[in-house]
Formats: sequence, C-alpha cells, structure tokens
Amino acid sequence: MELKSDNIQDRPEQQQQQMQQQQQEQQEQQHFHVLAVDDSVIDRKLLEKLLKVSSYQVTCVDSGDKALEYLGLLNNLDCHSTTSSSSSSSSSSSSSCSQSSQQEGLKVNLIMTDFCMPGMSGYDLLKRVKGSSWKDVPVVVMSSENVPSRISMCLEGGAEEFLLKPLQLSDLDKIQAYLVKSLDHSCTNMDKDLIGDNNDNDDNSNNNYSEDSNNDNGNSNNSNNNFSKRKAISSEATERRPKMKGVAVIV
Amino acid sequence: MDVVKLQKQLVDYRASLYHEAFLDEQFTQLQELQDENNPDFVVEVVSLFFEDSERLLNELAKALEQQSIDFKRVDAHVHQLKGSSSSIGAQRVQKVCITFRNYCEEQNVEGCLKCLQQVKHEYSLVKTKLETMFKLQQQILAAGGSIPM
Repeated sequence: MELKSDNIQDRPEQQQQQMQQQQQEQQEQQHFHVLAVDDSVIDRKLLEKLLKVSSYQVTCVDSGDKALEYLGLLNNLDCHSTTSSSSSSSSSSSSSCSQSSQQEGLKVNLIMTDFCMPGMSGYDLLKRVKGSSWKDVPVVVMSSENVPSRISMCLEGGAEEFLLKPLQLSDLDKIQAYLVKSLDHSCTNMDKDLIGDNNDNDDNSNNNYSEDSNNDNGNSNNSNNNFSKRKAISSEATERRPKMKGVAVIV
Repeated sequence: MDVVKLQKQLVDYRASLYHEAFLDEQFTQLQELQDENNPDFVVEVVSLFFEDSERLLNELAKALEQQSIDFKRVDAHVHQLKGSSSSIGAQRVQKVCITFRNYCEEQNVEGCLKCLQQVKHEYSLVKTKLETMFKLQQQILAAGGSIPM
C-alpha cells in the first residue's frame, strides 16, 4: 500500500495505468455483498434489483436452509469457527468443509431475510446466524405484516432492522448505516485472522475463546447499547454517504 | 400510427389504472428500478407474477374442493398471493386477499369460495390491463418512439 501513496506520477505511464486499473478492480471487489433470503420468486427479483441498483453485490437463496448452507452452517457445523472445544470435532468439521469451496474468502456484509417462510422462518435463521461465527454480520428481517410483537421479537433476537414489505429504494438508505458498522467489525476480524495465522492451532482457539466470553458478558447490555450506537452511527453514515461508493475498502 | 398519439394513449391508460386502483405506487417503484441495463425488468417481474398467481389460484381451487378443507393451507396460499400482488402494486388483488384471509381465519367456507371467485376476477382484470399496457409500449417502441414516464 505504501507504494501507491506518493510517486505514481513519477512512474512510467504504463505502470500508472496498470496501477489505476488494479485500484479500480479492487474497488469493484470491495462492494458490499448481501445475502438475500426469500421464498417468493417475485420478492427475490425485486430485492435483487433494489440492491444491484444501489451497487451492492447480491446472492439470492430461497430458504433458510439454503442460506445456512451458503454460510457453511448446515448440520450445526460451523466451518468458520475455531472455538471447537474438542479437537476431534474440529477435524471432522474441517473435512466436510473442505468440500465446500465457497467458504474460502467468503464475504457477507449483510443478510436480508423474509420473516414468513415455509420450513425455517426468518427468525429461526436470525437466531442461527447470531449463534454462529457469522454473528457480527448485520441481519435485517422483512415482512409484509406489521405485527409489533413480531418486530420486537426480531429486534431482541439481534436483528438490526425490521423492514415492511414491499421494499422501496428509500428503505435501502437505512441499510447503508448497518453496512458501515459491519465494516468496522470485518476489519477487526481480518486483523485477528492475520494474527491467528502466525500462531499454531492451540493459541488460535485460545484467542477466540476469550473474545467470545467477553462478548457473552456484554450481551445483556447489548440491546440498550445498540439503540444509542445505532443513532450515532446512522448520523455518521449520513455524513459519509456521498463518499461511500467511491471508497476502496479492505474487507 | 402516430407516435405522439400512442404516447398520449399510454399516459392516459396508465393514469386510469392508478385511478381505478388496479395499480398503486409500488408499480411506480418497479418502473423506477428499470434502466437501460435491464429494460425488460418490469415485464419480467410482472410475468413472474402472472405465473406465480396462476399456480396459486389453481392450488386454492384444489384446496377448497376438498371434503375437509385445510384452512391453514388455504391461508398460506392466499398469504403468498397477497405478498406478490403487493410487491408489484396490484392493489385490487391484494385487497381481496386481505378479506380472503379473514374468512380463512373464521374457517368460513362460503366466504372463502366467494373470495376465490373475486380474486380470480380481479386477477384476470389486472392481467388484461397490464398486457394492454405492455402492448401499447411495444407499439410505441416499434414506431421509433420512447416510453413516456
């Protein structure tokens, strides 16, 4: 990264062009990736369009199970977790995970899920995600029905937002705020991973375990803290918004 | 045919669909999402809606023909139809679905059968209207004009 800071103009033109192209490609790759879950083909198409128009990358799946599969969380296996208590279970999970090549470098910045789905509901999916190594990914729940008890249940379950269908472009402004927040999380995780790579397995699991226990202690305060955090962050995001799309981000 | 005349026809026809509540502002949202990269977006979504609705109406007819009606199943289908009609802005279809769901909750067979007829009727009306509108659009494009917003 230091190379690119000052002397681009001094370098030969070809190299300049190459570097600019690389920067551009990196910027494109840095677009937020949203996992959209909805059993309705029409709503999937609509959501995909809304997100693409807003410059997000989208992956659509039609059920909670497919979402879990995509995230590597099927069958209660957590392919991203290094907090397995017994080494034997981690080795068995890693053998089944090596078959799903999606896992490597998989980046999901936001999950948007319908509430009412046959089989696993959006709420069930929310709880599964929040109980996994993907717990820091913001989850937004959508529903065509305005049921206050449902809304508070989802928010208490860890959802960032509850959106009423049908969705409109204006709803996506709210989502931008959560993506900025998740950026901070994913940067931190990447740093942790970088540190983890240099250690052997035992040290790695120890680091993560202590992280998790800290999080657990914080959980009871979370719902209170989140409200004030949410407001603070959304005002920051509003200021940043004009610059958002051009930002090159390391995820 | 005169492009300007066609364009006026389209604008008036579209306005009438909103005025008569066949369509609501959600349909406008769909149109706003369409761009040069995906110029058939609205037609694609609406076609999906037609396919999906016809499937659901068939399922509903079957479910209501049963000796012992499974109202939960009927309600699930109506819920889907309500959702998809809402997503494309087919307001009159959506409204009938709301009434339909109430009858399901009451396990009122007569009410449900009546609503099934009503929703079939409203669906076929909006389908015809949308197809007419798309034809007008095609005519304008074929005559070298552009679709007025």
